[in-house]
Amino acid sequence: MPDDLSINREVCKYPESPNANLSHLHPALRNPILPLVNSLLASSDSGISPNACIPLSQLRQGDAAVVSGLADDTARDNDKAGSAALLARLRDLGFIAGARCEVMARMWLGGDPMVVRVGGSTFALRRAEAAAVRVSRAA
Amino acid sequence: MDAAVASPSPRIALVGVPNCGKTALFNRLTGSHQKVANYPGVTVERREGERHAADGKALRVLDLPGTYSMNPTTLDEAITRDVLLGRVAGEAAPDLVVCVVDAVHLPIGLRLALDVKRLGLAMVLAVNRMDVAKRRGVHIDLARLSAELGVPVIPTVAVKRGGADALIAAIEPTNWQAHRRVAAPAWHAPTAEDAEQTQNDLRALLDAVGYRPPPESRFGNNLDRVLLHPLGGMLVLAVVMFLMFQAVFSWAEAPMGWIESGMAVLGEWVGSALPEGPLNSLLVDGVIAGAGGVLVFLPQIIILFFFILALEDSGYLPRAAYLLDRLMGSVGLSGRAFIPLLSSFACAIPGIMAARTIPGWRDRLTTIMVAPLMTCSARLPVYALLIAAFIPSESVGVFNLQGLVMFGLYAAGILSALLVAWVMKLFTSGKLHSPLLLELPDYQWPNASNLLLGLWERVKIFLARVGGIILALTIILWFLSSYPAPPADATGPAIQYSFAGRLGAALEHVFAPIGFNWQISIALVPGLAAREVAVSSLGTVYALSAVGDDVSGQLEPLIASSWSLATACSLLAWYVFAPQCLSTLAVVKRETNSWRYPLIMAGYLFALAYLASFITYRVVGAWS
Repeated sequence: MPDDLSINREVCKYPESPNANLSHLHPALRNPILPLVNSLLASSDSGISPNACIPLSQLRQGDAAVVSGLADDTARDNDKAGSAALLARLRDLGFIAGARCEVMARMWLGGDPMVVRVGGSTFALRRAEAAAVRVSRAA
Repeated sequence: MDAAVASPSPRIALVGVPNCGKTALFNRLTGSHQKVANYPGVTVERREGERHAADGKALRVLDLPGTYSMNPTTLDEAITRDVLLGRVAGEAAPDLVVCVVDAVHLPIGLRLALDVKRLGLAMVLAVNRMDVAKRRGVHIDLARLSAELGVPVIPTVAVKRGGADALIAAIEPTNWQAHRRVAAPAWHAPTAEDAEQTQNDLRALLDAVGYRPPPESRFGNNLDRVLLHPLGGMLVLAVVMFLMFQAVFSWAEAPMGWIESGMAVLGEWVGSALPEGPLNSLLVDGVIAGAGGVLVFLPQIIILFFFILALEDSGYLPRAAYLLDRLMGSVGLSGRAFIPLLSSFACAIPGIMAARTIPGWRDRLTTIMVAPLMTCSARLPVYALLIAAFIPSESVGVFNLQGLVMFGLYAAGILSALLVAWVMKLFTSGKLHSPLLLELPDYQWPNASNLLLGLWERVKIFLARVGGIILALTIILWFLSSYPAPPADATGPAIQYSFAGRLGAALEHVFAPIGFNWQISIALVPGLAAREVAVSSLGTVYALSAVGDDVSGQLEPLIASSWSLATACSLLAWYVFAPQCLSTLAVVKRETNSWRYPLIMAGYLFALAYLASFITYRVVGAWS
């Protein structure tokens, strides 16, 4: 099961937060709660704390952000090749540092899959794939 | 394959990301002088066309499958890479590459162009959809782009007449022959550093040519708000699918009537013009009753393909895949499987081949295995015949009862596909590892000439089948049904004494429990080669077993009076699964590269068909 909360310290510093305590929850429950917790902590209106680096999968419909990097640290330890291929493909599609992206749509019940616009093109991707893209709030 | 033989004609390959208008450009370059390599025995679906250079020499133009990078994730993309590298057996690297990019979505296309350019092949960059780019305020300094890249850059509008004239001039061999590469391109899989380099090059290039992403299209955004809505989008999808199948049945009615009466007139005319004898019987009972009986379904097939091609061209299909990803994921299918499965409604063969666009072997295998459960157009003739004969044409609310039954049969196929996929998931590790990562292209009006060209291609394939395999089988069946002649003291119809009659009598033992009579049993045998032959076979068998003057009688009233409702329903249920299609099994063998999967497929389809027919026959029999 992909873990949206994992932190890749090489790509960005993820502010320590009590979010990690939610990791035992079912992802479907976790997902709607997270932005709420984040917004309470950061008292930010969009749900993304400024300059924080979070997985794209945590953005809500209508949120805009800037890609800061790619890191697939989800539970793909048994599939290194698949993980590398995913990152390469995301890069080929334009998920590169500095690119502006926006969440256009999410499905109900966990927001999986979701529609993201990046670099002028629009893509449908699953939450697990979006989790490999790190973003920070649009300036 | 004859095309593989080395030939002096220069070969030009079109490369580009999916949805960049590459195929429309290909159509523009080659017109209707295209050939899609036939399915059996070929490992690459080659779309090749021909055009003539100014000096009259032939140019061979190859349309490669769309790809996002030289780092393939699907079989389709691997084919494109291997053709470019000259790694496909009997296929040297192309002499010229035309790299097609979408001006509106320049970054994604240009990234691929940078990768392709590294191969060192002679190259032309076609910047397509220039009209849309202009309208949406995208400005690209093409002269600068050409200078930076070091290749000719040509603006094109593939969907407009004359929109590719500049490209046509640019691919004249005199313009690029000097840059032609003789040795096969050297290439290594890009490393992380290479990717970094490409990224920096791309950024610099986009800056230099002044590209800015277009402001969002309000029309597209509003449409997406509805079509991608979890509830609204699903409703629209259901309505679109329902209308499509309703149209296949109701719009086709009139033209089918014309073809039918045309065939009847032809049959009568031939029957009376020729002297009584074997030739008369062969033409009237064999050819006209048989092949003509299948030709009647051309209008329905055209309408079905019209919808599929139009939906594809409009950019709607990937959105439907997005909507269905979750649902299909729950039974172990990827949302990406939607597009191959939708083509399977036309024919399982292109559907199974389109499964190559699905990354991940398990997802792809599951899609291939359930593709034959999507009701293909070859089953339409059988459904249409039985429904017309047994289901009254009544209105149920705003719908037609016949249309509803047809919809129910399609739905039964879809539901069993979900069930089979779910069962397959139990036997495999189950988890989906391959990504969705599907581009949602801009909406656009389907282009009429591309649509017509696509339809024409399908019509040609269908007519070739009617004139080829269906006609041949019909004639063989006519022979088997006519000889040996009955003994002088025969009492029953002549066909009962023929080879076919004896074969049918033997098969009847197998099929009697599910309500099939010997005529149906015979018809199922040639149906192995092509499902729709079952209809022509019934036509031939009944034409030959008719007594007296009733030879030219129509098949529909004939079976309506001689079959029970239970038998008809049982045959309908049989055809939901229709295990007998040798070409499908051959394609599965080729695509999975083993005998295992086609055998499993044939086995499970046969078991399901027999079971479903058995239950249907007993239930309907008890009811009526």
